[in-house]
Amino acid sequence: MIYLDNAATSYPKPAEVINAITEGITVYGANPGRSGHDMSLAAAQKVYDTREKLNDMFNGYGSLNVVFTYNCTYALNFAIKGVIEKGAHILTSSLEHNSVVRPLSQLKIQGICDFDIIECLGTDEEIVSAFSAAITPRTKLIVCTHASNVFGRVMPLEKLGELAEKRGLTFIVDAAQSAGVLEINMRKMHINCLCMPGHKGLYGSQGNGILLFDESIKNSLIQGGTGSRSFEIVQPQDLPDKLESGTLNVPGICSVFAGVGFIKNFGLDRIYEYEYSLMKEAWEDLSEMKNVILYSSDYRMFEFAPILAFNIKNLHSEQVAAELNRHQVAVRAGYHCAILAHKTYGTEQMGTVRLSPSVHTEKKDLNTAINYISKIAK
Amino acid sequence: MGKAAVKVGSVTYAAKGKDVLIKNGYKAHITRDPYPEKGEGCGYLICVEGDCKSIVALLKKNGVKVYGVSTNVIDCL
Repeated sequence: MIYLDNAATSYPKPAEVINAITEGITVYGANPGRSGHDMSLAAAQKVYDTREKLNDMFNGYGSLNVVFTYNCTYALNFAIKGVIEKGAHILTSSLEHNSVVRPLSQLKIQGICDFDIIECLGTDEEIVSAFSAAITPRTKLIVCTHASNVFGRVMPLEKLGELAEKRGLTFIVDAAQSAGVLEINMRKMHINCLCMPGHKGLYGSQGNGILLFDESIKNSLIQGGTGSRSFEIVQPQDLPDKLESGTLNVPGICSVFAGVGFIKNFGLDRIYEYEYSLMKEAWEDLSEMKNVILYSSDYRMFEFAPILAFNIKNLHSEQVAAELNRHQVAVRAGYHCAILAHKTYGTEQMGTVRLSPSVHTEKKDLNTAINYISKIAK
Repeated sequence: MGKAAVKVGSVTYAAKGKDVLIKNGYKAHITRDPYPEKGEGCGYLICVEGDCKSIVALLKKNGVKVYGVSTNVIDCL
């Protein structure tokens, strides 16, 4: 199989990640933070070491301010609903995944807040200006993706962070497509809450999400057992326990630990440069096929995460993906849980086909996939 | 050199505290608090050799909430 669906989840996982998952069940098989025996303490130490590693990688606000969730969607819900207060106004981009838009819509339906969607088709400057112009006295929060999961467009995060900082707004970032691929520096970019999956660019296993945050999150979405202050019936306010109830996914956390190590060894810059070069070449090849539709006039470095969307004239994107699957090429088609992005780019009628590589994608395999696309497009 | 068993409220604080102490040249390890006060429980101890006041000050400076220092140091160490 030629796997080009890494934006959904990365595959294959590095050998050290697979070994770490086994270790998570064998060496660290106890419940961390619940007991005092050696294996429980060892598991707790491993979890803590993973917090440290993630905090270092993203220049966060301390290892206590790193929370493990089931996935990026949970992290986004924890952040958005933990930050927002009744009557607030929120701004978000028109490239958001449903993991942002649906929580916002739910809050609106419940009468808790309202939000505006900023169209993000223009230049970085135009996007930042549009956000700036939409800020009202009630605006408290900007929620924005780092990179579109459909079109790969990278948002001007640092400039949006500066805007949020300057106007006293909380800034929540969805790094689902960028964590482990593009550099993210929370403090430099003025990011208050950073949400990411552990199973995409970080190369961990599925069922992993991470939330890094400052002091912005006031409310906990889930309450329960934390292994701390058990004599009290109210949720502890100490971090990370305030936001992290129930038994943690230790094998998954071990996989993230190993995944982050893999990225560090390989080099974040090298990862992006390699994956970008693959997609740049694919963009160039596809742009020469007369029946192929692309959605950018160029494919410039750092303007795109390594994601490439396309369509073939007169074919639904799902038909193209099904045909590629018959040739053992794995891609994603349809709406990618991001209808706003499709409306922005005018692809809401047939969705798009998405190519997304990883460091494990070989150039020859990509070329094979491009040849199949060429045949389908004739 | 004195011995201290610093009480903290969670295993994460214990791990952070241990990390801070080791980075500052102390020998430290974590254990479950075997002698919780009445109404307490689920606490952890950071067991460390050194001046108690300095240790507690260092932990607090680094954001570790300290609930107290256990007198059962011998059992801890």
